[in-house]
Amino acid sequence: MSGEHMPSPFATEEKKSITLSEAMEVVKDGKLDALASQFLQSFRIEGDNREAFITQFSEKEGVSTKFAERFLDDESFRRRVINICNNFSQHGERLLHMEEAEIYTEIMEPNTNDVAPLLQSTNPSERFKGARTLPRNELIAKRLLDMRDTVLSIGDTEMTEKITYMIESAMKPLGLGDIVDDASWRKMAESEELLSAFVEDATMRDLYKQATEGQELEQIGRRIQLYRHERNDGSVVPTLGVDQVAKNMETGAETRLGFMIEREQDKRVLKDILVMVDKNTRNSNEGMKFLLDNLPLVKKYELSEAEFVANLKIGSYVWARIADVDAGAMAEDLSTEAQKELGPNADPKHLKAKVFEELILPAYERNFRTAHDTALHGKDLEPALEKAFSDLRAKALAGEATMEDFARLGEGKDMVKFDAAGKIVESDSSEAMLSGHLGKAAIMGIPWKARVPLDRSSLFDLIDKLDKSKGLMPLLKRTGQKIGLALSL
Amino acid sequence: MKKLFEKPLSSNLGKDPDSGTDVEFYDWITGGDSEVALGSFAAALVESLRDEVSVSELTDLLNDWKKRLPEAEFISRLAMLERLMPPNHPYHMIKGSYLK
Repeated sequence: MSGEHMPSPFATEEKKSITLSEAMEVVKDGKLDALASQFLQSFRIEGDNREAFITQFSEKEGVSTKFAERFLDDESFRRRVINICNNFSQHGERLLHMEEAEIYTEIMEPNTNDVAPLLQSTNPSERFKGARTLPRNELIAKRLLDMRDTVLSIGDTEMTEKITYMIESAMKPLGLGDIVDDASWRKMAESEELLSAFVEDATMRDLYKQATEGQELEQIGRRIQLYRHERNDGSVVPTLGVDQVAKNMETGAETRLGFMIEREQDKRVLKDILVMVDKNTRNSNEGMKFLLDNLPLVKKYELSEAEFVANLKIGSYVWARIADVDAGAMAEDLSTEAQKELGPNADPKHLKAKVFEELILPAYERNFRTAHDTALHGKDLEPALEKAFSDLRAKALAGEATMEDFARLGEGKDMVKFDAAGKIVESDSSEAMLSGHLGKAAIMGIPWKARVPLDRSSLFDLIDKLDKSKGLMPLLKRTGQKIGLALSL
Repeated sequence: MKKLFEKPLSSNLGKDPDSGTDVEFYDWITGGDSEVALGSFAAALVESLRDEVSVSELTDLLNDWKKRLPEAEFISRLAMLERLMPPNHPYHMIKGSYLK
């Protein structure tokens, strides 16, 4: 805080004076004396100064304006802040950390007021001790290039041209090349001066913030964010966001993974999973790998469910085997007419039928026909398969089909060929890498939302579904697992 | 929905034995064998049962297995639990009704 908008120095009987900023430093240094204590307890601020205080306080401490307002208005809260942030300076912490701990508490232990123990667990450097993070400039370069790639891959050409023009207009005066020039972006990542000049323009700053998950520049290295997220319906929920950028030391491949954790009634749900991988490292079974390799999270955050969007080319098939559509989560993507027709307390079966009718069946049928035409060069579909498809459609429109039913259609007859990226190709194509049945081909690439329950029984069930040998002991043996000392495999 | 782990899980799933960190957390796409991943997850889940103290949790799980699994697989899992669960584990209190 600059101090120029601060209230006039508080004069004590001994004629000593102190500003709020100084008082907070005293507290954070762990030397709370009578003067600072008295000052903080009786601190008042009115009128125009109030707004200026809130802005400056939230900027300096990295907290939301809500937190700053509460600090002003709620005396018991202020007392708690003063007690808890004692010694913060030792860790270079700002009050942001305390606000995060509060949010974390709401997510993890909503019935406790004891924030202090959670401070430790929300400290990213504690949580990921020794993790191989990218150096700051590499991390920034990765994010800038991700942002650039996102802009270039927007489906809307006009929009891409417009944003490209804006970006290049911000780059040119800095002596940098055009949008496709990787070296220019890397140069920007290397130089704080260039980067801050680049984001000086409000639109660029906004774009950059969006591309970096809303993080502020100085927090770019943060891996866990806790904030309050305002939903479309206006409700505000505590949210834990994780954003990871990492380099695999063996392969050199960089991956980025982001997700959120929110409470829904008494459940903790893993949501909005974002995955960006090196193009070269894409391989099959992404869906399964994603789920399995993120299972430590289940334990760490005591998750009840995971909500995900299955739109990976090949992963979709795996998702269909372990989860069904989450009609409730997909309802917001329905047309206005459908939403109106369903009303607020829709019958689950009716809702599911609508989701299939509007959001899944059209794409599925299109893929199904394409796959069939490519595989059979325009020959008619076998009557049995045609019937199976129309039966399944009827079942879906009655709200009784599952995604797995769709994935299994035509199972047993691998008549479609795919290339390495999961795209359907002619059966004699040199790019044909994989083969599969019609249902598998038709389900690929359809974005659909699903939920996986993460309680113990469900996870055992999931393993049984994914394990081809259908036996837990054989699986453990084959993969060389050793459990405790009692089990010698 | 029941919480997955009421107690801390004793397994080191996701942790690097040398550094003690969860680096594997994001190594998910670039390497490793998915069957081994599946196996190590299965092992961690089984291992977590050793710390389970709730009789009703265990009963729910066994009932679910009994309903869902082929008989031979169910019996094989009971044999596994018999060998793995410590002597004072609640499994030994309830196993009687599942063993024929």
